[in-house]
Amino acid sequence: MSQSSLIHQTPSVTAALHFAAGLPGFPHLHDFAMEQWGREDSPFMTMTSIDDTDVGFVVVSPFVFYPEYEFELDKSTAERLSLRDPTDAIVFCIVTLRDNPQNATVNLLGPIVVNAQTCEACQSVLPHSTYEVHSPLARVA
Amino acid sequence: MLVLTRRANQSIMIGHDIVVTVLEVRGDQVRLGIRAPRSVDVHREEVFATLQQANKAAATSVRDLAALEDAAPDAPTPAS
Repeated sequence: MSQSSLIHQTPSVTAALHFAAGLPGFPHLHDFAMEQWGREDSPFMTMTSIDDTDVGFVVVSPFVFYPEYEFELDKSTAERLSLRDPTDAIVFCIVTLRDNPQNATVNLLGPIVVNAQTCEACQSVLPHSTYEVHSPLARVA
Repeated sequence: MLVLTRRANQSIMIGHDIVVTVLEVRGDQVRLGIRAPRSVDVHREEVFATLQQANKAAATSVRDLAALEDAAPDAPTPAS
């Protein structure tokens, strides 16, 4: 899928997302609200459960920190999300905040894929990739 | 644990809408085909455990997220 189209679409999501299957670890939570998080120009968003305010995530477009990030969307994910056109897909990755923002990591192995037309979402997994579940946000050049 | 014997191209039903089919058996590897509704997530077990742990480690309450907002990590500066 075209990477650039994803980057350009990413900031426009402000709707609520529906995860038909929940998320691994949170199978009972299906609806999440998206809001910008951090300073005005921040690339981060919060994705918070509408049903359980104890469960929220910080998410970010992976391309902000890893411009070379790419993967092939597997057929079953595309089917589940009724994604017909790759430009309808939006990708987010979950950030793990740690004691210090310098140590924050991002889950590149299990991206969240959204159908921008329907706001249907699921957490995909890239089993044959070398991407890691805890990739550093602050990268040493 | 329920134990069933199946051959290649034979299936089992889980509930009324999940079908697991043995596609191929070669040596110590088995290829499975799984048909499930979209409300059911299908993952390799070890990958699922990794995602589950990562998601639990990343989950933060709405109140904590609001409190942490000022400490949000910085976006990378564009490469020069």
